[in-house]
Amino acid sequence: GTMYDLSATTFSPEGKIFQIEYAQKAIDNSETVVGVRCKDGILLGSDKLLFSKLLVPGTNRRIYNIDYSVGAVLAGKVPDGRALVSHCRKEATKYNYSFDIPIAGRILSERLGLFVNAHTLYGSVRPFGASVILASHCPEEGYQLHMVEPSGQAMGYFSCTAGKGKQVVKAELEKKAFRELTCREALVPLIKMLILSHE
Amino acid sequence: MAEPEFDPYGTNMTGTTILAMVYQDGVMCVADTRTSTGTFVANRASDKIDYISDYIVGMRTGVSSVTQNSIREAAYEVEVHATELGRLPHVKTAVKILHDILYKDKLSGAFLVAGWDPYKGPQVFNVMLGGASVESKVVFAGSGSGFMMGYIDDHYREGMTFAEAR
Repeated sequence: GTMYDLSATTFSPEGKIFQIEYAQKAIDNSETVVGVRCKDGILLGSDKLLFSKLLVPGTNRRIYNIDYSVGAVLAGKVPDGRALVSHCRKEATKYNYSFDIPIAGRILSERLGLFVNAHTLYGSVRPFGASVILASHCPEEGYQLHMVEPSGQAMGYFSCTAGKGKQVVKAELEKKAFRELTCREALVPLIKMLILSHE
Repeated sequence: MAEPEFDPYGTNMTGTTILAMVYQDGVMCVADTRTSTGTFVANRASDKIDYISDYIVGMRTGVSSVTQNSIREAAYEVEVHATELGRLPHVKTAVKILHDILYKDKLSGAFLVAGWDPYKGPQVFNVMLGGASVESKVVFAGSGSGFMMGYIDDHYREGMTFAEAR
């Protein structure tokens, strides 16, 4: 769109906010990440390219710990994602401090969604160019998988994916019933999917 | 001859005896009903058992204005939390919230929190003056509680029926 895409504070006549869509584009051009809910846990995977021989292997991580019971993998721009991880960590530990219970994934993802959405409401900030896939466990609700997108949308998934190869991975995820597998059983098929998405 | 102590501007205190215990079918809470200002009885029918949430109550000892307000604030915060959570709050969460309200400003109050949650069943907690909170099977507090201690020690057993607990 022409003049409707200059700022996140402008809707287009079709009801879109182009800046958010462009932020989503930043994620669609990044490395593939995937999260899968298995019978006994959650697997998070990321396709992380070492684009130079000068890089130390294992650097520039995309997978982070948020809390004792929550983990995350970043899709899109890693610096933007790390800001979100930092916010998640504060949110999760503060919640645990205030209420003496671990934060449920559902609640953390909704709060992160609010935070991300707040950055789409003003002209002085830009939307985040990253999605966060949150894996969590709490005694009352079990294992949960959520993804928060640049629009602030936060949804619960059985499996989700983002990045360059997401169409390929999505097709593979729909074929296989990961819900019935244990994490150990699901690991190899998941890695194969990520390799497949490379092509 | 020593004058009896009289404080004309005295704050309303609850010179209290309160008790809560876990028994077979849940929790039982008992409180007396006297509120005193110094030696004067300000209210002889006060309700010291307050609502925190549907399955959690708090019993107050200490300065009435402080404790009434703290309990109301705690009830509000528990409600907001439970609404976001979408299910019943833990009793320990209510205890933590109440504790933080007291400890933040070092308020003069002590509480017994008694309740039931679907995660750990019936529980009673003693939130003490300095801020410590202790979970237990029987808790009692207030200036009159010393008299209860001996009796309880002798007669309390786990898993009493309602009739026995009375």
